[in-house]
Amino acid sequence: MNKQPCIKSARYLKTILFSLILCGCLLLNLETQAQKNLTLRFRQQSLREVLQEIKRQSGYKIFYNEEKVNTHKNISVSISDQPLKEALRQLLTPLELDFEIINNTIVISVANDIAAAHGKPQNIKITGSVNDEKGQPLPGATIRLLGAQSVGSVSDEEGNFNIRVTSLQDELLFSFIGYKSLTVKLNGKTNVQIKLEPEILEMETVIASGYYPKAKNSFTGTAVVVNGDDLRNINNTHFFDALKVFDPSFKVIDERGIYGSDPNRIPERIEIRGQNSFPEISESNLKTVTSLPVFILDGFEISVEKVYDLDMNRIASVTILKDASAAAIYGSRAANGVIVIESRNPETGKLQISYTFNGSLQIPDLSSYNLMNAEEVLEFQRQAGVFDASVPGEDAGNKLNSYNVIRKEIMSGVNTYWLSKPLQVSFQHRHSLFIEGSVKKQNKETGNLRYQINLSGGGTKGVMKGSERNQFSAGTKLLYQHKKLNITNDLHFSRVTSQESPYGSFSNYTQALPYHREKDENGKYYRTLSLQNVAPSDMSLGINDFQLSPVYEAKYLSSFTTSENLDFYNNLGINWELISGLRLKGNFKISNETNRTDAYLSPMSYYYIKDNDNTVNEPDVLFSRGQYNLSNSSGLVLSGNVIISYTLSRNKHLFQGIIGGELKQQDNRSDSYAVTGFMNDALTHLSYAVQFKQYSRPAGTENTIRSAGAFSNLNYSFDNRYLLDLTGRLDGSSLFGRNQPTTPFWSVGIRWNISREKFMENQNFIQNLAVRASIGTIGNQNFTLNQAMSLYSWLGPTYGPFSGASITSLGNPNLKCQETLNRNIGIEFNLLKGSINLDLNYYNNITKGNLTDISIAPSIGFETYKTNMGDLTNNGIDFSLTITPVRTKDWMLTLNLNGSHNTNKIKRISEALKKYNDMVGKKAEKENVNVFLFEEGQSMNTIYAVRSLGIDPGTGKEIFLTKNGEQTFTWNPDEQIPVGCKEADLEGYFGFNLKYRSWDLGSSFHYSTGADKYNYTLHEKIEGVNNMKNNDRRALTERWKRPGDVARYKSIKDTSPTRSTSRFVQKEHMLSLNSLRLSYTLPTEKLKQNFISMLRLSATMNDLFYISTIRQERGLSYPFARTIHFAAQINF
Amino acid sequence: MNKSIYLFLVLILSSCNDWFDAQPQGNIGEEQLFSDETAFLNALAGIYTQLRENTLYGEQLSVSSLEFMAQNFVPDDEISKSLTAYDYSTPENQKMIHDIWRDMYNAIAACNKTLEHIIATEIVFNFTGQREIITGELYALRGALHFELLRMFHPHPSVAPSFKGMPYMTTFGSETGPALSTGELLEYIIHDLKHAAKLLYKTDPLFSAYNNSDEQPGKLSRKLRTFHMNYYAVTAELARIYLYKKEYQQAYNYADTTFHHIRQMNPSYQVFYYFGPGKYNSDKSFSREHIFGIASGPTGLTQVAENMFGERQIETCQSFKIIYPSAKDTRYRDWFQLKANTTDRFILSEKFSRESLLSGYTSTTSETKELPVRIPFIKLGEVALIAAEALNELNRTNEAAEWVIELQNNRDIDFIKDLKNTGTLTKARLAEEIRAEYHREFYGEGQLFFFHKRMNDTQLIRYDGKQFDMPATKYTLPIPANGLSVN
Repeated sequence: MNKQPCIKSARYLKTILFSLILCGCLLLNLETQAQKNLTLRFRQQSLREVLQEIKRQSGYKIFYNEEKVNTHKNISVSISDQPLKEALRQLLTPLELDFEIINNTIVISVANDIAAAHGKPQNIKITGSVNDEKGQPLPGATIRLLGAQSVGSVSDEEGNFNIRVTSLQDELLFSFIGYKSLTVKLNGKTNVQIKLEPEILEMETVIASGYYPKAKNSFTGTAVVVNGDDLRNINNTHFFDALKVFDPSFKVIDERGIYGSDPNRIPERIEIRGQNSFPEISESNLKTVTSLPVFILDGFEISVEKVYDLDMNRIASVTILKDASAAAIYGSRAANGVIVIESRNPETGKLQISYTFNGSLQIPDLSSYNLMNAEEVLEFQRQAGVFDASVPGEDAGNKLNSYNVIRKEIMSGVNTYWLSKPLQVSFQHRHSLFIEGSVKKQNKETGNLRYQINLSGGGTKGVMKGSERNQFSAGTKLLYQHKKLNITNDLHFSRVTSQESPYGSFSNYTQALPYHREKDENGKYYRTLSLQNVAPSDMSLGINDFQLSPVYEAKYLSSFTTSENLDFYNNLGINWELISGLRLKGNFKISNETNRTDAYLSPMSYYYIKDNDNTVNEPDVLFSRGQYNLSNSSGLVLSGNVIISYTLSRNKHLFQGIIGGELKQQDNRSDSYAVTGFMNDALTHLSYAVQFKQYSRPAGTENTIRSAGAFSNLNYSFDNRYLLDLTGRLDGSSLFGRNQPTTPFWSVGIRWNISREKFMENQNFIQNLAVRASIGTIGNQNFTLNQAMSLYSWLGPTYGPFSGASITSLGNPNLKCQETLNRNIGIEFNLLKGSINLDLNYYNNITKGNLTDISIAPSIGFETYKTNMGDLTNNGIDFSLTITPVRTKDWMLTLNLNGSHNTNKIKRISEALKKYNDMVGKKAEKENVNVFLFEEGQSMNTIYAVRSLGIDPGTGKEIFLTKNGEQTFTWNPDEQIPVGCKEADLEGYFGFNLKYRSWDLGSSFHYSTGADKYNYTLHEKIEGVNNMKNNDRRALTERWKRPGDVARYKSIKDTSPTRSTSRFVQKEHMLSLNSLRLSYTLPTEKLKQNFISMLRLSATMNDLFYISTIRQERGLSYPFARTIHFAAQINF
Repeated sequence: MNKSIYLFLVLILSSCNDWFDAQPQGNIGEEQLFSDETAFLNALAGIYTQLRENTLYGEQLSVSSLEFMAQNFVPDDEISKSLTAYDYSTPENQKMIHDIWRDMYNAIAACNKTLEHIIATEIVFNFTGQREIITGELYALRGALHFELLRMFHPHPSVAPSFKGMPYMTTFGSETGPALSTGELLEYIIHDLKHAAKLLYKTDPLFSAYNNSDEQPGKLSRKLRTFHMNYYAVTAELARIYLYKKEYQQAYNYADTTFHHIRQMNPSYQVFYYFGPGKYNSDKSFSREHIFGIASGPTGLTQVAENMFGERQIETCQSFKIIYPSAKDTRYRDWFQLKANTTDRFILSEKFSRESLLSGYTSTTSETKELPVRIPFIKLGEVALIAAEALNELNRTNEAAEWVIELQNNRDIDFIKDLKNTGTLTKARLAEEIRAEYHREFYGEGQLFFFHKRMNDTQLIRYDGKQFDMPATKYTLPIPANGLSVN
């Protein structure tokens, strides 16, 4: 009998619940209107009576299960003028009863039993998304049902989540590190859109690993995340210059500063946490050391050139993955580090046009040069004995004639400043235009489409006249979202053209003698610089040296070198939620790139026509004069990956896993030709050539490289306190040895979020404290095709009617990818509500099985063989500290400091490298160089030289110290020992950022301390100089001249070559102002009347000064420049 | 769902090996190269092309180093001086010797690789016998090149019979063979050459008369056989080796066999024959007498010779007039010139000069009808001298004399004929004349040094005409450091 109401009410309830879910909002509105205040005063009355009174006062029906709710119990209650709910709460909670108000009905149940009453627990599914204040999704945010510790969920990478609740009146707690937690009451809604406000500073919260994003607080690896705006603030045109400021262990290596600010110089050596592979050696010559990280743009690998030419306005964020836990998912490509670039997604909302203008002014920086002027050169040459008799007793009259001619020239005012001749102040400009927006959602059935059109173009002129690089790119990006399906498509085209300066290498200008005139009296440039130009024709000169005028050919001849690169790609991505928590992601990219390089050398060049050459008009000379080289290359890349991800949350356990695979095929082609026989300087087209270059033939290659990888990442987190991360990858490539087609990689990472522990709860000092550690292997795939395979190549002229094919190398079918075992320990913390942030890492990387040449018995027919041999280690720390001492409504000041120290050590080297050491030692005896040696136990950056005791004041000769401690004047290559190391004790960047309302002032300084440098300027421009070229002023002032002089540099008369000596190894402490910037954003209120919605102006100055304890010439073949950037961004 | 994941993984993992087997163009993987008949001809041509490099027969083993070591030229710089003084320890000479060793073995490695493929290939060859010819040439080259190394890097067995030095390489790979004794090596060499002879016997187009169908693309041309290790080159090489072993009867037999070509072939179809006075026009190296010679590249030997005798003006030895006592000698007339502004200094300016061209051969390029000089590997003259020396050693001096007379007849001199007519020819006198012919016949060809070595000559005439003691050890080039192993 008594059960009936209950059953009825349960049925009733179900119906109500259904209708509620369908039109929850409406009902909730009704409900809020119906609220009335109650007053209840009872003393030892039964609950039933109290409820009767509530029913009377509120007019609501009341349901309960009499079996469970004991209404006969006597209670006392005193509630005055409380809203219905509050009154019920005060009444029922002490009785361990719960209630629910549904459509004028109060349902009373035993606490925590509502769910049970519904048949199964938490059966109301709530969906929604979590975004940051800008509307960008926040993956990894935790969602918890208040009052039920065991119910929680985590947002996925699109920021979407779902959670089951017991009631539509439940409250959800949204939290995410770095953001203010937010409690939201469902109020009957089944879909909630949450925007979290940043708790403190804007913090990088998502690690984009390229395959799948991860929340930073669940990341066990080491990564540096830089958002696009911060990057552009440092330098808005040069990606690498901007990025290096954010991570001290990211280094673009240009050891001697040879390439300066050459706009066409693409870095070929970038190191993250030290050098971890041996350089290529051929015929005992060191080939260029190439080590580059892998660059991933929107999930796919791109070349360093593409990154160099990327429009920086397209960048949303850049992530540098540094250790195994972060990078193992990239397997065989990751050993040099991984740089993940995410491009900007279309903004939502109505049509928005944003235009950015970047302009910059480059001013050559010649401050490192300290060259002699005309008078000093002459004095130097006189003291060096250039005008003395070369053998005792010889009549030096002719030489004195030369001296007098020069003297007379100087008296008449000749003092040519050659350095400025090829230089200009250059202006660069770049324009970016974004047109974007979204098509409004009409109803739930048609999805949401976001679109973006991006256009960019600009020209970069270098400070050397005629050198330039022009870029143009256009792209569209579409993003379609419909329920559980997300499709993106990115189509992009770009064209880059570049031109080398016809003025040639800058070193020609630093060496030209200032006492030579540039032009004759008619204003015509001299072809060669010599005294004959100005001396009376009947005068016999003792000095007949001449220099080529570095200007002549640039002024009069049409030689050129240009190149063009066209690139097209389409990138399609699909992201589909199959069932709750399970997602399928696929990305497919096709790209096609073509390159063309044209180089023309005029037939009138000094290379072909020397002075006084009587063969100039003979046919075979004529037909081989002038040369045009054309080379083409193209690459078609097809690649795709598929990833399945699964997220499972049970109580405090959170499990996330992905599994995926990728395939890539790359078809490369190239061809090149050389033609000669140009009759006329101006006939610069290829077709004017008479013939192919003698004995040359078209060259070219065609190859296909295929690679595949399967990978998985499993991440387990307990209560977001303890995290475990496992990654595995199996990589295969057609470049690997046939017997080693696949290589496995793995990593294990752990993290402890200490600040989430109970004992840390009640303090306000530490907001975030976490320690993490990881270990794993990553590989380096610096292979070329012929290393694993014995390849045949076609030989030159035929043998009879047959073209010869010969084996180019002995392939090693056992060759495998070299492996680096990375270990990393890191701590990160955040004190005083974000006022102090520190991230500190210690790492130890061991590279084993380095790809290196080993010597084999030449009776095999080959001398070397690539194999996995040679070990090296890199140890170090890097840290990044940010302090925000001032934060008010108008003001904010941030200070930052980062630094790194790396120690490199060679553990084991191959026979070939030992042989190289022997050969190169001998070479140092013949050539005027300081050499690069490899020794076990030393660093790759060790400097080798013979120890020096300085200059003997008696003779002006250098005194060397042998290994046995003996003093000698003789330099012997075997006495070279390690005398220094180029690794800095500490190197990094520091700076400040000051914000006042719409103003923003910032700076970054680059510092380095304790590195040893071999000062080549001392070696080459003060000593060991060519007296017939211009040199450093100190060659005149600081060299030994007469007995008794205590001098730093050897005798001024000593023309013998200088050998590598410890005298020129100097400790460097260096500071440079990397960038200084000021920006102003026009306040929105001022813009309200206009159609302009945002206007930001900024100016950045780069490389303003450079102070070093070492005075050394920089920018040898291309000068450095100081740059002032202007940027204006206008949104419509 | 699970099924599709599984399928995906299986797809990726199972098809790995095919997927990773990407073959590059321009550079070609071996499987891809050896997919048709022509490829074997290309690989073979590749070996001959390697042999004409400057480190080998393009310079060091023909006109340059070995000739300085034979005291045939007056040295003009540090390197050539050290060679005439047999100082093998200078860095330049060490490198030169090292490069010879490596590049010879590189050519041998190429023989082995090609043999590996031709033995295993299932391709049906279009031209009958061509498979046998190519295989034969490869065996012959392997044997002959090892013998060349043996002559350089081993002492003559009569001096040090148990010497162990170089390996005999029969496989391609990263493992080297063990050091073998001269006897063992000779066994291998003879074995390979005999095997080659067996393969080439009758299949070599030299045995058949010429007909027009011989000239077809992808077919080894009968006309160009002397640019390859042909059947008679193999028999001539065997004659050379048996003489080296001092097995005179065998040496004579093989020498005699070589002459069958001339005796049995209609003169208009002979590819090598004596090239009497007045026949040769611009063919100064007498290429019609080469049983096997290597075509020089367009910038090869010619340029080396031009540099040595044009720019450097390197003179012949001072005893030149004694070597060539007759001014009628076609070699004297056609190979040398008086050095400018001198009356008694000569230079070898003609033999390998730019103007010296092979006549009558089809060309490598369509532009010219003639080939630049050819580098002789083994020629008729040497085979005649082998026959003569062998017969003389077998005490058949009169028969032996006929071989020398025929050679000298074609050189327009008649020293032996005169001796024979006057009845004053003795075994010793003939031996002396054979020695003199080695001087005359191979000037600039790198053979004389090996003759001295084989004869264990302890006294030689230096380039300046003075006699000096030659220590036996100097005849043997040092095996390069790490030549056999790296440890």
